[in-house]
Amino acid sequence: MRPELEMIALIERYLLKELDEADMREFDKRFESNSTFRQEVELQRQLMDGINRLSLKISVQKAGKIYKWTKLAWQAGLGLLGAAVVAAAFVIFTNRSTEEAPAPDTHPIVPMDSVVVDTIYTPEGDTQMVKTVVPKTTPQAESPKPIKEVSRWIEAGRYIPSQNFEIRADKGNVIETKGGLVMAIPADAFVDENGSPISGAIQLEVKEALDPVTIIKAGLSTVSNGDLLETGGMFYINATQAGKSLQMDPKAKMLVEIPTDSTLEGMQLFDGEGTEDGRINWVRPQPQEQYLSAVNIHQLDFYPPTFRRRVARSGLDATDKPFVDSLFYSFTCEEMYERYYDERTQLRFDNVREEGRRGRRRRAIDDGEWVQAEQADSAYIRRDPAVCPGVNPSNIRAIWNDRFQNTNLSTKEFEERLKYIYQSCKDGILDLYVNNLDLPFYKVDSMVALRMTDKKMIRRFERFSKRRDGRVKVEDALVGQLSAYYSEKSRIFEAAANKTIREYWAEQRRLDTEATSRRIAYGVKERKRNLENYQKELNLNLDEAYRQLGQDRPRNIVASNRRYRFPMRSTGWKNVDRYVISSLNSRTTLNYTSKDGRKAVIEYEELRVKVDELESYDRVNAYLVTKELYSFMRMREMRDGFRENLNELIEYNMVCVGFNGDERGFFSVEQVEPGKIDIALGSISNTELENSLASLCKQRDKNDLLEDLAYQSFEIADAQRRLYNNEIRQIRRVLYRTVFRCSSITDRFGDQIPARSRR
Amino acid sequence: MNDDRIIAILKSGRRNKALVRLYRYYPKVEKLVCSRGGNKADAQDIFQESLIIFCERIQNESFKLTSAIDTYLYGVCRFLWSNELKKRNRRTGLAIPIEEQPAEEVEVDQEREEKIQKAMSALAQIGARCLELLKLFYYQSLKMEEIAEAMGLSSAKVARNQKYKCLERAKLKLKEEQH
Repeated sequence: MRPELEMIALIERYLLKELDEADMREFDKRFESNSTFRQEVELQRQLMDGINRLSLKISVQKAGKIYKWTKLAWQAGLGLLGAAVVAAAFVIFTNRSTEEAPAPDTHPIVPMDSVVVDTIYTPEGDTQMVKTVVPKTTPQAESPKPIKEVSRWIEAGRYIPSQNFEIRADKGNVIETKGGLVMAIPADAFVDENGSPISGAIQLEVKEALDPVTIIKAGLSTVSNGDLLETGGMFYINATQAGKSLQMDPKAKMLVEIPTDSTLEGMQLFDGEGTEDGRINWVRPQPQEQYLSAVNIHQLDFYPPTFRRRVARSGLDATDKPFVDSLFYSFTCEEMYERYYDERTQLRFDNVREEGRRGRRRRAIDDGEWVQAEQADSAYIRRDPAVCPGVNPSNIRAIWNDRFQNTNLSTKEFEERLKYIYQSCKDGILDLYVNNLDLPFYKVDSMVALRMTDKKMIRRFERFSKRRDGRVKVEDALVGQLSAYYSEKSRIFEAAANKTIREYWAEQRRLDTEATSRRIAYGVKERKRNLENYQKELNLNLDEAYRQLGQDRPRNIVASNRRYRFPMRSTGWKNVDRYVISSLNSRTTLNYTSKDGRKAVIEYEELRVKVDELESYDRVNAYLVTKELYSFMRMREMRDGFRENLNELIEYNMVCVGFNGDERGFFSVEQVEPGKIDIALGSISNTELENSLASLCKQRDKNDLLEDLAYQSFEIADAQRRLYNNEIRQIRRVLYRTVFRCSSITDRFGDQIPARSRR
Repeated sequence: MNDDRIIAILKSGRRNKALVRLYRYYPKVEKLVCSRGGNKADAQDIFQESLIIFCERIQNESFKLTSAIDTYLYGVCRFLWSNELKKRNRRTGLAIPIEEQPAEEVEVDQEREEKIQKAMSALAQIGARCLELLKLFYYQSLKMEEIAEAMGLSSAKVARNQKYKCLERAKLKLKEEQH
């Protein structure tokens, strides 16, 4: 042997602990000193672990198979296997000519039905999924049919090697062939020519043709009544004892598992019948129903197509599932599709209008036209429960929960169909699926196809039906419960959603009204205050002007409540007054020289206040408080601050307040002088604010100011509320079309105020 | 067969009967997995993985089973399944409701696992005949003479040689994998 192989042999002995002491020590020495050797040992150890793991895997899988079959065996309670009957392709052999009488070694054809095939484990240790379940049953095994001569088969059989197994007649057996075919044979499955059970050892000969190459090489055909089939595999089994062929007990049932790489759509099981010319014709196909696998219903997407995307595009957080859910469920059908129907005549109407005294009589409207009163008896007119073309979000809410886990609805297959249901614009389709959870999909699909009127939809659901998707196994008792739950909850959710929406907008309207009246009241107050301030300042200025002129101020001049016009009721010094008035109006310096050369000067000078970081506030107001005036004055707003012309006769304190949500910024200047000042607002609490105001102005002013500030707050909040509502309306308008894509009422959206009867 | 006997049998190496026995703990696992977004196939995979973990662990002398085999397997399955769910959900991107913490934290020796996986993939590349030979020797523990007969080789010596050649081939493949 090559030295490399010698080394491998040595290492193997070491790993298997077959070395004696002396050799062991040698080995260790070499291990320590030689790093290449060490590496080789490690590699081989790794391999050994791999081999052991492989072996373990095979054992475990084998145990699993045995467990499954023995479980099935005992389930029937008779020691016989399962409720399903042998199926799959069956190759018929005979090795006699037609001239001879039927010899004892004829092989009965075991009639076939559908087979239960679940997970299959190939010898290689991989798991393959074969999902074909047909627990439908089956007529009893028929008596063996006469065999037709098919000499060609002898040749076919020859090319396929036999696999031989020995089993005991009185025990149930599970055998597995090289190709991965697993057969479970019950005890006492075979009988002799008289029909009495055999005992002792039985030889089983199995030939299998599971791959296309073998099938072709062996000359086996896959033809069914002239059409070519795609086969999943064929096999042959023969039982003998002491050379004598045995028959299968007609009452016995054998289970077979066939490995396949994939489940193809439309796989069916055929019986094989020998034909005259030595071929097999495959007949009596039975479709295999596929059991579906349920997934977690919360991982599926039951939203209308494009809904999530639209939500995200509206700037909302589309990943917040509870939020998206609640948004989706807030759309209701009822408001948009008010329908009534007459119980007796089953006529449907768009709307009903009440007439007569106390609304006793009702007339029905259909498509905008009056229907005769006789046709619609008011006593029988009822409001249609939410009938939604397509899908009603409340229905989705009723099914998208844990109650419907492990039902047909918690499958990808249903998710797929739901997308089309949304587009179908037909009502009741969703109900079909929900109320038929015990039926396989393909059946409901065809029911749905019948209901559709749109060609594309019909075709779509017919295609679904062709796929022969099955169902998720659900207990029968549960099916009825779920149906009831669904209809009840749909109603409840719909009503709740409607109520919420209605209440919200009613509240908003109330707030709107309130805001308006408050605004009006404020406006009135403002005007009054300004007017009183004006009068006060006018009187002040007039007094001063006349004093400077050394005159008495005529008392018959009345400060009117109109700014721009002054009724002239007297002559004389009215010029002064006019100048004073106009100077006050414009808040500019009065500079008047009387006829006798005396001057009256009252100066107005500007105060400019620049506020740092004005933009960081929602709003900033600047006020001037005085002793002289009736109330505070508001400074005029500029781009980055405020300005106002100050009257030299008046002493001002300036107060500046900024609003930022609930926070307030504040700055004040006592006895402020005209000029330019830069200020920055410091944050302040409400109590501090009050105290500061108290120290800066008289009681009455303080209250007025606080009131004004409160109003400002209110305005800011209200503006935000209105803005928000507009955004909602906008978003709902967009989303509405996505949720109710079938809606032909395009002018009703957003508010979803209860529809008024059309006239 | 009680727990101790099962463990003894598994240690001895003739484990098939014992494994079938352990399968009676499968229904509980199936219920667990199916109620948490899995199907029967998943349940079978998970259960088999747990058996493999269990068998390998008890080969280790230092491993002490502190609870009933039943509980241990169930705990391991819970752990494995919640891991699998996390892996799957990461792909779908949606969060799932938080599972309660599994009782048994199964430490997976990542390094060793990787090594074994590499070895297994190397073994997959040496050819069906080689693999068959190795299985017969290591798994079924047949004698060289028996192996020779089963594989159609002329003598035990030839079979032995073949075995070493197969091992050499596997080693080479493994070396390639490592680098």
